Amino acid sequence: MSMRQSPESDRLSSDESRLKAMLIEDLENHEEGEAMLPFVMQMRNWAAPSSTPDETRQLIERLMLELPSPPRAEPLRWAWLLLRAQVRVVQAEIWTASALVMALGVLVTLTIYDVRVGGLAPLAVLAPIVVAAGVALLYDSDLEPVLELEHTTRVSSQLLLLARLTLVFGFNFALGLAGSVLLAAAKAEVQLWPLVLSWLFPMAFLSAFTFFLSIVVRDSVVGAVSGFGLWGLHVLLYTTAPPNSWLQLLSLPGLAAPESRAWLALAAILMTLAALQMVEYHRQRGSQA
Amino acid sequence: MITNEDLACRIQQGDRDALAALVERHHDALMGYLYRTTGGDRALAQDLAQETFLRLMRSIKRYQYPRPFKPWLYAIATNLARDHYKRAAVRWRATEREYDWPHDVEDDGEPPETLLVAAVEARQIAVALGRLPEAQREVVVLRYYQEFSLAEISQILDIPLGTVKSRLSLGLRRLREAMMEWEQAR
Repeated sequence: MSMRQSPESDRLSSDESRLKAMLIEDLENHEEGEAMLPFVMQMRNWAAPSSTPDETRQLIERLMLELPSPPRAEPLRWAWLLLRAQVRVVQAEIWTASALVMALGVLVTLTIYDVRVGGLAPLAVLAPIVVAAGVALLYDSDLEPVLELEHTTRVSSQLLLLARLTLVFGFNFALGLAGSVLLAAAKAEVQLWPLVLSWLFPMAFLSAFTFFLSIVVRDSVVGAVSGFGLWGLHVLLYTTAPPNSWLQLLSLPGLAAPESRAWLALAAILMTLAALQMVEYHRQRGSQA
Repeated sequence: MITNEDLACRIQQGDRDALAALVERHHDALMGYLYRTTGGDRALAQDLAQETFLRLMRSIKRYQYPRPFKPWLYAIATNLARDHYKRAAVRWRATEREYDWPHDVEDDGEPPETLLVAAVEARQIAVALGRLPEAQREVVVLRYYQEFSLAEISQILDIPLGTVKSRLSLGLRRLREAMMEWEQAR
């Protein structure tokens, strides 16, 4: 009659065969290995105490203090990772709306714009508005708690906003450039670079303006409407006779003029820096409150 | 299952989960090793195990994949145990101290007489191990309790394979003699 072995006796038997093999290997003698086996089995009865879960947890906590910091990525890779992370944060509608309006600008320019008549191309009119609207939505007082939370990470709120601004501006710049290339290819009389420059500088200025204003007043709607108003007034007075010198002054007459481009670029940089400074100011005031 | 070597690489990158996993995987066994090489002193084994992990963390940046991780960990522990005895000018004192039997004998509902016999036997093994020269005790514990391969022991102690074998052979014979003497005296 065969006897069924218990799991415990199975384990013992497996221990025994493993130890036997080890002893034979170590002593290089089969008989001596076998003779030593009972003694080694007996020796192994000396059990060691286990560590308690608390001891292990405390040890892990202590060791965490010695954990190396995660390596910093290369600057370019780090910037790329930051931008990629911010794509998810920027409102998804901005991308779709920008692409649609830019496409409309290209279509209208393609069908009705005549270079010989002069004036701003429809694409040059629409591109600054599209970016200004998107940029204005980047900052709102509703977002402050989020930015406050993000301030506890290694990346500052200012850098996060700058990353988002770069994303929205870069996306629209790419769209405008693609549209301009398409127009230059489709219409022989359209020259690529003059067309690009005609919308690029107003776009930079207007986006910095709305970004700055939305942060100062802590309201994206006010920022966007002011940007639209300024640009709308400018375009209106650019295409019609100036009825009033105050209105003309208010519309910033050089906004689309080639000779103003250096000033527009400088103003855009200064407004962006001031806006980022203002974010920090808001944050500190929020912390004190 | 993720290997020790992969966990070590992840710790180099500052991975907290990898550190927790590695400690949970090795803490008990390392304590067992130190407990047996230091004569059954639980508190000392616990301190030395903690110090081993601390030293490991302080040199983790020097770890080079795919160097076997476990022998490295036990080499640190062995050196610490040796340093402890050198520094404190103490000797293995299992024969002199009170036997800490509740730590050594698991109470699985066995009758008290059985537990007592097991405790006495465990003490005798501890004493016999304690009488071995340090070099022989280390190889015996690494081989028959921790079940390292001969090559791994050679790496841990940084000695040739032949030396591992000769120390094992001598150590085992001495241990058997000691145990037989005890059996006869009983």
